[in-house]
Amino acid sequence: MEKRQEYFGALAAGYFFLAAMGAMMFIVAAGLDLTGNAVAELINGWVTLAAAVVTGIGALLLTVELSKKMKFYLVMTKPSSLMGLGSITMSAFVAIAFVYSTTFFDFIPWYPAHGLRGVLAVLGIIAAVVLAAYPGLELGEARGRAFWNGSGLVPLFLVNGAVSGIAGVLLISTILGQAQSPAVLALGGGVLFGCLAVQAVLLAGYLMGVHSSGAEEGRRAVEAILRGSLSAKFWWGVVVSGLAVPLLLYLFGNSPALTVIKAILILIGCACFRCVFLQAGVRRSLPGEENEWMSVEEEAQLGLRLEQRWKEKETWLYGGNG
Amino acid sequence: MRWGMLIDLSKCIGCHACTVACQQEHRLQLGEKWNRVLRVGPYGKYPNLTAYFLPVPCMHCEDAPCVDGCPTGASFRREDGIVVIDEEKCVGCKFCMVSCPYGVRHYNEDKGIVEKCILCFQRLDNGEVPRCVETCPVNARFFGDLDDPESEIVHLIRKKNANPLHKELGTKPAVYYIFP
Repeated sequence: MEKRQEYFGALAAGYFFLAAMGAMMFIVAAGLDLTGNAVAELINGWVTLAAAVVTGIGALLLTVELSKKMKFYLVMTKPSSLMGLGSITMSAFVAIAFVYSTTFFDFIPWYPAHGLRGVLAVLGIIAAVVLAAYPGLELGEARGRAFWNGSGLVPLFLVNGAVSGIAGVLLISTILGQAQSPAVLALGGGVLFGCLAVQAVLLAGYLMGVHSSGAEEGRRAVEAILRGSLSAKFWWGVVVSGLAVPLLLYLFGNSPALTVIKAILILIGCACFRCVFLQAGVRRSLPGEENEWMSVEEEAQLGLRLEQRWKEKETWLYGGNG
Repeated sequence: MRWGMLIDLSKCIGCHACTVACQQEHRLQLGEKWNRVLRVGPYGKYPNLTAYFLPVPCMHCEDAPCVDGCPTGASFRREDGIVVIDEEKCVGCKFCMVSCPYGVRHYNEDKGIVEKCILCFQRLDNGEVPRCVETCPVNARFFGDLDDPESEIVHLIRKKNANPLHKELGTKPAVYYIFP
């Protein structure tokens, strides 16, 4: 029955993943900048530029998902809807992150523009928090889809976004040769470890909470995740790639090569997390919905069979001269 | 004024005439149904088995999640309570399909927009009743103003203790059912 229900597809999952990752990358970088960390001067230009690009790609995925792509601007015309608010925030965030990143490149005329940089860092953090939080609120609006209605969804999405954002910052820092700087080591060490542990606890708590909430569609969703159609993506993607292996890798030190492997595995896990959570939001079934008789294909086949039968009858009645 | 519908499930014989009439009225494609008819049951224990048919049009909710969630304002409620879709504004994001708890919205691949039961407002504007109400051969459907305490539909809702589907979701549907 779930297969006949509507849910967001891979493009929307990709958007949610990339938007959260970009937003959290910016928050980490701007946080380093605002606290006066020296490494910010070395990595923030590229990290925040990547945050803008990643979020922009997410926005493109969202636009591709629309059937009327040239009318994408209409999505920003109703800020009272969460999707409208999210779209406006996303556009503002991409612009802020891009301008902020330019203040770190010495070939830009206004470099270093410390005053502007500080203002943009604060504005960008506000936009990033909204961008990372609104998907959870938006999904929570869908009444009758108990899997998305849990109060723990927004914190879980935020922590998952933080994990992907930190992984993104670690990747770029390693590429820039800053993997061993104290701030980056701390980020990839205790901070990331703590976020992964919190995510594991929140994830287990959320699934158990929804399963025991009493809503039948919530139980169906958790069953699909743990033992059903989404189990491979959940166990191999979210749990093994996104949590277990990165946590185990802490036993083998923090060399740049391990950091890159860890970050890539985490990003795969976070992408799988978004897919699983979007697809698991099944709707409360209506009485008798499980008996819905025919699919479109079955109806078409029945129509063809009927037409064939009518033709046979016509031939029998009129000898093919009807 | 708030248009609403009452469906007497003890009368409905599951003939699908309402579904077909709706498809003809709105020239829908094969397989597209703005008014599904579900078969509930049989449930119970032999020989005391029960089954009934459940027609499911758009519920035209007063607190419609599809209207609140629509990012373009394409889905909106008319003054008479009917939830409609502005084809010019719909960009096919399908969020309304996800947020509708009744699964009554359909994506039209050719037009690239979402469609659903509009309670035949074009007929209402001409003083007629919705096509499904007119077509029902057993008179299982009643139509009227839910805000008028003297209307037949309000009397029947009270008398027969009619209820909407999934009342607990708090969307305040305008379609009520007399359950068998």
